[in-house]
Amino acid sequence: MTMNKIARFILFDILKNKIVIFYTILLFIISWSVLGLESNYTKATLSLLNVVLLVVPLVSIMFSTIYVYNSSQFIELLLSQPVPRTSVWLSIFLGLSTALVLSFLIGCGIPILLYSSIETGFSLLIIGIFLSIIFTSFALLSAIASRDKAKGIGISIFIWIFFAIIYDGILLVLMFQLADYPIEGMMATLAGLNPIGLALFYYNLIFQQCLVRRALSSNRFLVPEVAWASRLL
Amino acid sequence: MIEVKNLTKKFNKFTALDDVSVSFNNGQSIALIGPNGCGKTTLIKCILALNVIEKGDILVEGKSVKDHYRYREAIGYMPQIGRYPENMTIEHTLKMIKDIRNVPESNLDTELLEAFELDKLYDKKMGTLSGGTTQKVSAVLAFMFDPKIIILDEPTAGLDPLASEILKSKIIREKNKGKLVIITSHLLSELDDIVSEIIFMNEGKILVHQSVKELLHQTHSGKISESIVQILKQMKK
Repeated sequence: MTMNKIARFILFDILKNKIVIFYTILLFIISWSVLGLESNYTKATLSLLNVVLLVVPLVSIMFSTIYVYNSSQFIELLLSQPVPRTSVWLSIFLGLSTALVLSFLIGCGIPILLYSSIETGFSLLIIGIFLSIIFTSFALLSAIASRDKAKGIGISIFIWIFFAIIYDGILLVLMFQLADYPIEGMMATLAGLNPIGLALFYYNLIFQQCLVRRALSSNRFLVPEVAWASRLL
Repeated sequence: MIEVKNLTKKFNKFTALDDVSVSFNNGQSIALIGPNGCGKTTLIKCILALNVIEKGDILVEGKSVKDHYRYREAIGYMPQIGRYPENMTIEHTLKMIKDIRNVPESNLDTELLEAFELDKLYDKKMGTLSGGTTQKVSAVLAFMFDPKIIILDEPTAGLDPLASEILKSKIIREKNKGKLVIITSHLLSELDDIVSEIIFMNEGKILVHQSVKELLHQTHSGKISESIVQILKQMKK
């Protein structure tokens, strides 16, 4: 009971935060301009995906880390009340992730509903929701790793760079180095451990399904689109 | 009633509390004093289980603070620096803590709330308040739920003279009701009419634990501040 109450209060506090409002507007402008300018909405959704894969994790992890540090005194106040520690921590997580998911859904969801198809857009929304939640939990992890705010934010930035850039680089190097060995299974597992990589995988799977379905239903093979899709994979 | 048993608290290599054993009884009003970094706040935080206890134990009303969080229902705490979510109004903040505590409206003690006239500022956001007003909110929250134990960390720092007089008279009234009040303060002159016992700490140890009457009698002085200075001088010899 108390957990829901605290989570709700934190949620409303965050929703009124200027940065979250700015984030929602930014997402809205990006998605609206990307989807509105490109006539081929499959292509447009893909460009939007690339933006989402970078922006959503970055904002989620940075905002959550800074929020936790800034509310340390408030957390102390909550803990001096008859409330167990776990429920305070969980409600912070719930409040933060719900707020970020909501602002993503408003910022990206509305333009997708307006300009794209639910078929391709839906997977993008799923990706955004999961990335928001996952990187919020990373933020909570780095916020308790250190008492020092600057250090905690540093750890957060590193986590983001690691999953957005470094991790794929390492995999690529491994792939070239071990090209002579049967490493497909291992590589797939390793790639699946990166949330951003996993999101990309998921999107490609759904995307291919869509293409196949459309090709079958229209009774003609969409040569350029399939060629373009296979280039991505 | 709070019993502290052989409590030792270390932060890495620094020993904040060194084998402290002490007990506080209901109806007492205790001043924790000592130089900066002597372990006063650490002791308070241990009682509230904000610091994890590794060695020793603390019993509040007979229950160990390690076992269950429920004992905190009997404690009202006013922190040294209260910071609240910036975008929440005073009304919201109070409502949230009320919701968490789940105490019926009729049992609430709104005396301080009215005395500080905070209801006029209900719509102000916590982030825009001055330090003193934030302290007032903290004080209101500490007394609101009629707790048996009241812990005040530097209560009058930052309050204007009028507000600190209101707070002081409130503390005395609560003490006379038979509650346990623990105060830390650097302003010794303020403690004279409030406290019944003095605990002087230094480097994580309790050096003096005496009732005020005894202390004043022993040192032949009329004020707490003078007698503490005398004790300190004696120790240096």
